[in-house]
Amino acid sequence: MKEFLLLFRSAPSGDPKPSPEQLQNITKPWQDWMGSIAAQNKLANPGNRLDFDGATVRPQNVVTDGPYAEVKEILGGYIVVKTGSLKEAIELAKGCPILNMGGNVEVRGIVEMNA
Amino acid sequence: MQTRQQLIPHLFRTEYSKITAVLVKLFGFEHIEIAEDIASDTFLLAAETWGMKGVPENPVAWLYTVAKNRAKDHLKRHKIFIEKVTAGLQRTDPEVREMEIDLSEKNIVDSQLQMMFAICHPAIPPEAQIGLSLRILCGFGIEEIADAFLSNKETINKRLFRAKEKLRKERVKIEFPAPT
Repeated sequence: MKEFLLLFRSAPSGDPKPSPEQLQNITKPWQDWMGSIAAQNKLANPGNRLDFDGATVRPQNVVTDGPYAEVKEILGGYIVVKTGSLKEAIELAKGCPILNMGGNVEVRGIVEMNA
Repeated sequence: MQTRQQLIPHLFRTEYSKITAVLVKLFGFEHIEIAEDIASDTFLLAAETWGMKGVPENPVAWLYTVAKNRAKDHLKRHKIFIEKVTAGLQRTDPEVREMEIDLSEKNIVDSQLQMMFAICHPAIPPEAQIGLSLRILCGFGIEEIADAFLSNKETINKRLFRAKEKLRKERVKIEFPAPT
């Protein structure tokens, strides 16, 4: 079994005026997706949702406010899954709700220290 | 499970208006869209985060904390905006200058009641007063308001937009009317 990091990226939403029902339609798919990965015993780490604010630090003490200024897509969150192969991790990523919200998922293998 | 499924819509109906009312009172009516955006952002973040990680122990406190941080970020990020806002702040006590966002029960209740007076200003027609009340004070979605008026989303959006413009032009204050 190998661990893979799933990174969720999405464009900042243009019109964030959801109705109560739309909100529920966001929560439910995440619950179902995370739940199904956990049920298959493939959820290595439930990860986190990242806040919107932050900063980027560059050499020579250059600190820019937040990630938003220059990027089209913002890293919104991550989880770690444990699967037999990259292919299997990709299959899990295909069910990620971010795909239905104009976002994408980057799947990356994690280098193990105890090979 | 049923109750957990309904939690976010339920909280939206009870807390969206409180957060919006407090922020509008702080920013002034002319910045109502920013207040609505911050409240909406808070619920979007809740919907995603709680879906991923489960519901926090105290969901209401979670919402208030996120809304406060979001409001502070906003004020910090938009320096020009902050200058305009601090110049026009309705309350001038030092707490507000330090950007303390007061989500205490008393301030929530006062802000909601004052919003009610502002929104039901005679300068806008009754159907706009009702529409704004449903949207801002009752946490209804545009589609739900359209259904209630046997109308469509575009009409309601336009109606609410025009009503807000009008109230801005009238320089409506978020305050209690003078005793008569």
